[in-house]
Amino acid sequence: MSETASRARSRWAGGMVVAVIALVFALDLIAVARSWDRLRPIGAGGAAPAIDLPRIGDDGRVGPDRVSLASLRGRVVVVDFWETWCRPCRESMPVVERVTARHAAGGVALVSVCSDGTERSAEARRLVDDLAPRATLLADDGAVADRYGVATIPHLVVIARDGSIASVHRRYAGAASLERDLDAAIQEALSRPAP
Amino acid sequence: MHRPGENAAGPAEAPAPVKRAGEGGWMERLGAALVAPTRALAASETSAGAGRAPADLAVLILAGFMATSLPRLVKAGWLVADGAAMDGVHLFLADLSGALMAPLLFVIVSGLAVTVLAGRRRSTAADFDLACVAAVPLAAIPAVVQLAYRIGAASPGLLTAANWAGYAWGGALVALAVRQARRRRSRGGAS
Repeated sequence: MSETASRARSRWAGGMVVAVIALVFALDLIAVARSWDRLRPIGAGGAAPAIDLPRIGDDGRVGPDRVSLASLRGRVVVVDFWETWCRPCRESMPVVERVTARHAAGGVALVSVCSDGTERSAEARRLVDDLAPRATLLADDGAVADRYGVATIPHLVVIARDGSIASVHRRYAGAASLERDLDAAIQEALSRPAP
Repeated sequence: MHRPGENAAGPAEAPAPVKRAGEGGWMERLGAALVAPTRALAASETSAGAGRAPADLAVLILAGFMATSLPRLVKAGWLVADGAAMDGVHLFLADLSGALMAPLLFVIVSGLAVTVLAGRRRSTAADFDLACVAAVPLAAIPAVVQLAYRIGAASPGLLTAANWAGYAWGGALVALAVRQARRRRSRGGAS
């Protein structure tokens, strides 16, 4: 092949790669424009997006029974988003368990949403049994975490009795600060009038 | 009124610049790594092409990262705007390091391999230029597969398979890079 033809072919191939990248960018731009609000992290005050996920049973299997946020209406719900590989998530779990247990009599439920739970349900079950045995463990494929705007984990959401978000706690900065912040957030949510 | 270099009959006849290997544009160098790898590898060792391959690869990786990570970049931006700056930065850096990890590791390992296998004709800088040319398929394939995935023509399994194909393709280019390095006239000689 002549030098000229080879160079033309190279320019064509390079152009194709650039075109593909530009096309992916354009498609993502459209997707971003369509889901602009969904990409915004959910903050306090808004309505909590629906949760309807299969429960990970005591045997570590997913389903068949499901748990929805609507079924917990009237209670303060602490939703803990985590994944099995996440060490800070594992470190924060006993703290979350301890704080929610303290307020259990007041009507506080702990829902543990494992975002890789559909693939690693047995491991998720074992971890929750060890670290937060009171929690209701649900398997998510990432869709619910996405709706809640979870960008970093652990990600805790305190939902008030009326279904609105009372507070959001991102990442784990140590047991003492989490215990203090979560306790205050639960007390504040409990102090709100029931719907 | 004529611009400098023009006369009344039209633009002055100037000899067309002769482009040598390695002097093509970014797109041509990128494409050459995919469809004419022997030429791309040779071009990276010319005086005109030396040192360009790492910059070319970096631009490709960053362009691919921007294109394929846009929703998460927006999410990171929202976090920063909402006062969770550390979380936004953390998300951005996690995604960026994820995008850089595979090609950078590939460049380091294959650059070392070329250096070792080039024997007495090794030239560390030129060897890593060759490794950067060899890494182009690894950086280009994910963008192609992501496009296929977005238009519903690929499954998550295909993403994994395509990544491995990228490694295999890059590995073949490393073999060519070793051959190129061993053809050098003398030690230290990017000619």
